[in-house]
Amino acid sequence: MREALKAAGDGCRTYGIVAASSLRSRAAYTWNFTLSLFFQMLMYSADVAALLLMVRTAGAIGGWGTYDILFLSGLVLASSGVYRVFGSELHNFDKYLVHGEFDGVLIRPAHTLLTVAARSIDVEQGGAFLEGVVLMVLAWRHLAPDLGLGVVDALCAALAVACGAVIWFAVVTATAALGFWTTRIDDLQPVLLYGPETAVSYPLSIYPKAVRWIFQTILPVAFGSYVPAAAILRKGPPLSDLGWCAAVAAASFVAALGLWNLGVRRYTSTGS
Amino acid sequence: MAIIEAERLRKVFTRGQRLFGRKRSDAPVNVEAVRDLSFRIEPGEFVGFLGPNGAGKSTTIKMMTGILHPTSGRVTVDGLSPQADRVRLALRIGVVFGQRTQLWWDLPLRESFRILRAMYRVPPVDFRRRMEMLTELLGLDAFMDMPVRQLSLGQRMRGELAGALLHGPRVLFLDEPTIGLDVTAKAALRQFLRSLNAEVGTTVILTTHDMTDVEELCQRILVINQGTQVFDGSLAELHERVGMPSALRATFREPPDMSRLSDAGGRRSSPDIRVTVLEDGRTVHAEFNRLTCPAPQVLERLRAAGEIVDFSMQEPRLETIIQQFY
Ligand SMILES: Nc1ncnc2c1ncn2[C@@H]1O[C@H](COP(=O)(O)OP(=O)(O)OP(=O)(O)O)[C@@H](O)[C@H]1O
Ligand SMILES: [Mg+2]
Repeated sequence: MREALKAAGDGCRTYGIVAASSLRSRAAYTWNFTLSLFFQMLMYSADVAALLLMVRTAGAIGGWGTYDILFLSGLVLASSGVYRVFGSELHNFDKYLVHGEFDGVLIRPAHTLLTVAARSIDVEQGGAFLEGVVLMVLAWRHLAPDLGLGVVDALCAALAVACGAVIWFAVVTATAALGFWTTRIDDLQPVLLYGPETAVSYPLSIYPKAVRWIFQTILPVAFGSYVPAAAILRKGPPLSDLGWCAAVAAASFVAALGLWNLGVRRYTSTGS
Repeated sequence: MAIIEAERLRKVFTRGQRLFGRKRSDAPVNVEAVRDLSFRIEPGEFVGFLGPNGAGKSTTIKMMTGILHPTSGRVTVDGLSPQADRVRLALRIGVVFGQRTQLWWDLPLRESFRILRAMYRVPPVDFRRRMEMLTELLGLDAFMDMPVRQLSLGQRMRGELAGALLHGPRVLFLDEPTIGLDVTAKAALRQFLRSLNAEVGTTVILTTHDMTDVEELCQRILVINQGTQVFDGSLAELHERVGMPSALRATFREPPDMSRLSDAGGRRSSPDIRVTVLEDGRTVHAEFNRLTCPAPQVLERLRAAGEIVDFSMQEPRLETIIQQFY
C-alpha cells in the first residue's frame, strides 16, 4: 500500500514536470496560442448560439427553460474541456497504435496511461473549459435569485464539473483502450464521444427511454451533466444525488483503467 | 549469473484478425516471428543480433524490453520479467530504436533530459556527472538547446543514446542504431559504445545490418533466421564456419578468353572461384572464399584470360555471410 502511494506520488511529480515543459514549449508560440484559443471560443460560441436559438423558438423543452439549458451546456462544455486539455494524447491515440509509438511508452518506468497523458498537455484547448464556465456563470446569475441558489449549490456545481471531467476522461480512456482491439479509434470517437457530448447538452428527459438508459449505464455521461444539473436547478431530485454522481465518476474511471490495462496486454507493436 | 536469460521464447502474430472492419472474411494468418529461441547473456557482454529482414530480431528485443508479451517461453532481464515487472525493469535498462525517437519532438534536447531525469528519478549528483560525461563523449553541446525535430539524424541519434543512458542502465538495447548515419557518425557512435561497454561495463545488445558494426563491436554474435537461432559465437568462429565470401570484378582490354582461364586454374569454375562473364563481354565477376583463396591469387588466375585494365573488390557482406546459414 505504501509502495503504491509512493509510486503514485512519483508519477504525479513526473507528470508535473512534463506538463510544465510542455507549457513552456507552447508559450514559445504566443501568437499561435492566443489565436487558436480565440478561434476555439468563437467556434464553441457558435455551437451554443445555435442551441439557444433552437430553445428560444421551441420554448422550454422537457420542462427546461433557456437558462437551464445554458447552464447544462456550460457544464458539459466545461467538463469535457478538461479532457481536451489533459487527455489530448488519449484523444489522438491512433498515432500510438498505427505507428507503433506505444513502444516508447512501454519502456518508461511509469504507468502507461500516465506516460501517455503526460506526453503533452494541450493548453490551447482550454477554450472550451473557459467558455463553459462563462456560460454557467451567466446562467447562474439569471437563475440564482428565483431558485434561491446559494454557496452550497455553487460548490455542488463545481463538484458537478469535476464529476463530468472524470467521466469524460474515463470515456476518452476507454475509447483509446478499444484501439488496442481495433487499431483505429477515429471511427469510434463520433459514436462514443462527440455524439454523447452534443446529446447531453440537452435535457435527458427529451430522449427515448433506450437513449436515457444508455447514458445512465454503459456510457454514464448523464451523471456528469443532466443528473447533477437537475439536482442543482431544483428539477426534482435532491442535491444528495451528487454523491451518486461522484461514485459513478470514480467507478467509470476504474472501469476504463481496467479496460486500458487489458488492452495494453494485447498491444502488438508494428513490424518496423 | 546471466543478466539475460531466454528460454524457448516464442512469439506468434495473428494477422488479418480484426474485431470490426473489412478483413473479417479473410482467415487470420499466424506469423511465427520467433520460435524456440533460447540464449543466455552474461553481464558486460556486447552481443550482436544478426539476421535477414524479418528474422525476428526486433521482435526478440521487444520481448526483452517488455513491449511485447511472448506467446510462450520465458525471458528474464536482470532477474526480472520484462512483462510482469515492466516498471521496475525500465529503471535498469536503456532502449534505443534507430527508426523512432524516444525524445520529446517539440522540446529542446536539454528539456527532454530534464524530463527523463524526473521520470527515472535520477539523483542530482548522478545526473550531473552522467550529463557531463555524455555531453563530452557525444558532443551534445552544439545542439543542446535545439528542439529535437530540428536535429539531424546523427545529432538526434546521439541525443537518443544520451537519453537512454541518463539513468545508468545495466543493459542497453539498440535496434539498428546506425541506420542512416554517415561514415563519421557511425565511427563516433561505435567509439562511444565501445568505451561504454569497456569502461562502464554496460551490457549491450545490438541489431544491425552493418558488417563494420559487428566487426568493431560485437564480441559475440547471435544469428537468427526465421525466428530460430542458427549461430551463436564470435565473429572469428562465424568465419570459420562459413568463410568470407567475397567478390571481385575485373575488366579486360579485350573480351577474355575463358578457355585459357581453365588452362591456368584447372577447371573453369573451380570450387573456390565461381566466374561469370557479364553482358558487355569484357567484365568478369568472380566469387570466391577469401579464407581459402586470397584475392591476389584470384587476380593471378584471371590474368591468364587476358590483360586486365581495371578491377574492384567487393567486401564480404554480412548478408552474404549469414545467407550461408539458410
Ligand atoms: N507488430 C507486428 N504484427 C504482425 N507481424 C509482425 C509484427 N512485427 C513483426 N512482425 C512479423 O514478424 C516477423 C519478424 O519481424 P521483426 O521485425 O522481428 O524482424 P527483424 O529481424 O527485426 O527484421 P529487420 O531486419 O527487417 O528489422 C516478420 O515476418 C514480420 O512481418
Ligand atoms: Mg528490426
